[in-house]
Amino acid sequence: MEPVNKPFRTGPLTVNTIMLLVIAALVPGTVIHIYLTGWGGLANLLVAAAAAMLFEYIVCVLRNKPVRETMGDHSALLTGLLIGLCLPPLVNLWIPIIAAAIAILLAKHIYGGLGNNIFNPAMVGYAAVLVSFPRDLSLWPTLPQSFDFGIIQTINIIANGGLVEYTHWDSLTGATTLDTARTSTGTAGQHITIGLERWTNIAFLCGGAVLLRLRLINWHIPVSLLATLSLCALIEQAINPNAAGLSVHLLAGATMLGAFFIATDPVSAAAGNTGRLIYGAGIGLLIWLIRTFGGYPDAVAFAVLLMNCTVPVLDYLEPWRWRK
Amino acid sequence: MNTRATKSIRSYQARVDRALRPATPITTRELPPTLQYRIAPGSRHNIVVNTDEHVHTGQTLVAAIADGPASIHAGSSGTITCKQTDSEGHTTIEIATDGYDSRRFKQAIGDKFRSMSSVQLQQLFHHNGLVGLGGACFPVAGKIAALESKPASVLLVNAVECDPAILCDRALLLEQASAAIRGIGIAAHACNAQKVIIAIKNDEPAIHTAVQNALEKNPVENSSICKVAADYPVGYERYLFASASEIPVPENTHPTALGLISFNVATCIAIAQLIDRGEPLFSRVTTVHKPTTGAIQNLHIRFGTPLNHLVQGSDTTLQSVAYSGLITENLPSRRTATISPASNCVILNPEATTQNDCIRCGLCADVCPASLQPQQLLTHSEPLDAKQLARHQLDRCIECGCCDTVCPSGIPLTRTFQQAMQAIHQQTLQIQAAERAKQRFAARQNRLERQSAESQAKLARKQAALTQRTKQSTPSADPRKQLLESALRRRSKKPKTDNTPPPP
Repeated sequence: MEPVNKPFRTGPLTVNTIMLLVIAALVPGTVIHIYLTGWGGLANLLVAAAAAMLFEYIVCVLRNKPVRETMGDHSALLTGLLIGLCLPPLVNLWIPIIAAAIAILLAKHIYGGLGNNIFNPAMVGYAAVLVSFPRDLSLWPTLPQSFDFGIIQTINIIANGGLVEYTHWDSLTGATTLDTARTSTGTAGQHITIGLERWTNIAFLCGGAVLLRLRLINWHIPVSLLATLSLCALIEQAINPNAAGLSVHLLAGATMLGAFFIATDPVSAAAGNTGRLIYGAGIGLLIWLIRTFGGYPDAVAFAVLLMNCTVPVLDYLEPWRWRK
Repeated sequence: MNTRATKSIRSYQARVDRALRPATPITTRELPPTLQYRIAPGSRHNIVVNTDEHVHTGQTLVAAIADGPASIHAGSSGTITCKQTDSEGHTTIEIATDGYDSRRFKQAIGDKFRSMSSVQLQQLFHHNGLVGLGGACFPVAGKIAALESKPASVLLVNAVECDPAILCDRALLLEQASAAIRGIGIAAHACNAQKVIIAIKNDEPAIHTAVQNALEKNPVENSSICKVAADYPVGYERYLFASASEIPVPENTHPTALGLISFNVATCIAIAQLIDRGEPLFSRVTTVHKPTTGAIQNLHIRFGTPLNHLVQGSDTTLQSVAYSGLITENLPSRRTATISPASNCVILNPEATTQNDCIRCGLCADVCPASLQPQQLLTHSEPLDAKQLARHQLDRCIECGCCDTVCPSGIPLTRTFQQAMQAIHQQTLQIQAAERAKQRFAARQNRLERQSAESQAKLARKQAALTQRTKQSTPSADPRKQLLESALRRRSKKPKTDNTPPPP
């Protein structure tokens, strides 16, 4: 489209501001994430963000787009950060880079760039490496001190193939809460406790609350997502008292990050309010289904990607009229 | 309307307001060398002047048509230099001004208007070019006539300029409040209004004082001042009735059908000028912004002034122009841009901005006062999908421009919708034309068939009559035929002789 003349167009928000505010809301959760994962987690964030921005730059040049304006929207930085937050610490250096490449090149720019992608780019990148490197991505620390290596050692590990190559440290890794919950379902008397990741989740919840307060995201998606997930978890627990309970489903894994920062990505989510409610509920249901019956410990990425597929139909529901 | 959306628009508005609020008195601009009046194609009009004719200021150029457009009057004395119709069907009348501005108005009516009936006043308004100056240019007489069936229960005077860039009504109220009140009194008489509400913004104490003082000096029966919150787009007629008169106007119902009528302040002042000075409507006050120099002026300008004339003096040339205000916008083509009764605000060479793809954030849906889904409308506008646009009720868009203001990607949504509506209108016209052509063709086909059937039937009847006649008459009945036959018989019996001369 041709550039337009707009008298004094200084609307309250620009895409750039929105992205920066979302990144700011991510900060508390990210800080706790780094505290829990040490230098390894920080390295993931830095590598993924830098790679995402580099690929964005390359694509801008290839597509003859104004670099300053396209890069200026900070969406690539946000994508990189989300990928970094999903990955376990001390993975092979190439894994965040591959994830960022798939996110920016395949999921975003192949479809025409920001605004035209049907799938959430960060989740496409993460899902691609999750199915490609299942063993690398299953090594999570059990305690903050578990991977308490120095910078030099961390760089050494990630540059030499990641923790997966250092089998003698296997003893330090363990299953995540959700992993335990999945494998132990049905074992009588076993009490599942949520690891320290509950603090990450609580921090993301706070960040999400700020986004809601600023009305940068609408309440429909997170509320319907969390409500559906809670309902499913409560029903499950009523049938089987040993199942992972409400608190596990809400405060373990990437639930809060998914509910407030990933599912609410406006580009790939449903646009109307009715559509948003159904979209959120669908993600909540899929998260519970995959966690309970699926082969992966966490399910946010797959749930979001599956519901992304339904968005065109959900958009078609609008305008929904409750009263004819 | 969503409260947060209102807030976001309001904070934006307050920011712009602070920047623009400085008092801007009404100034008069020297006359331009030419005035151009363009008449849109397809409209009925009756031009009453000829080329090279000399006209006086206020002389009728185009006569009013009953139930149609109001008359158009010369903005200055001068000579009609051209009167032509271009390829698009626009008829242009151009006056070369002579600089004297010699006026010849009809006699002022003054207080005699009280003895005039509503119909007489409507006639007077219609033949003096009175149209609404709020932006829609609807003929004043037509509006009152629409009320005719019942007396107006409420006359609403719209002094709520909610678009922050438009300052002309504000300046008019501050400087000419008594004329406005006088006009309101006349308008109330013309509509037989039982109640008069003057709606003003609640954050303008100076205007309130000015209007109140004028009302005390020259009271209007059953009138009251109503302050409304200055939330955009409260000045939209339908919303203003809801907030000022507390009478909700349902969708698909025109306010006049409920006995509600509204006039802009500038229109009321024009009515007062007509009654008290006999002056027909040929000029208005327009807010002119020049973002390149930051200048804001309220100019008293004649209709038909080319916008190029307004740029003169500043060293830039006219590159682009936006009518209306900050939030509403309307981009006319540069070549033909002139001041019209609708131009309440003109922004010369507005700043250019870039535009990105829609990120579907939904802010536009939150601010839409008509509760539409602008982003869905945008998706279906390019490429145009008339069926989906109808499903999403594009026709309910009031073109307020709120969505443009909040869009983080800087997409000109309202303009896209205007274009889509135009395209749909064109399509409908084409379909109608095709339908008419089809009907015409079918009618022709029918007619041809009927004619050929008729002529065949006629032929058959004739033949039948002929055979009837030949059967009835015996072969020997006709003496001439007998003679002919006998002659032929004789000739065939005759031996053939060679009368040709032998070759030499």
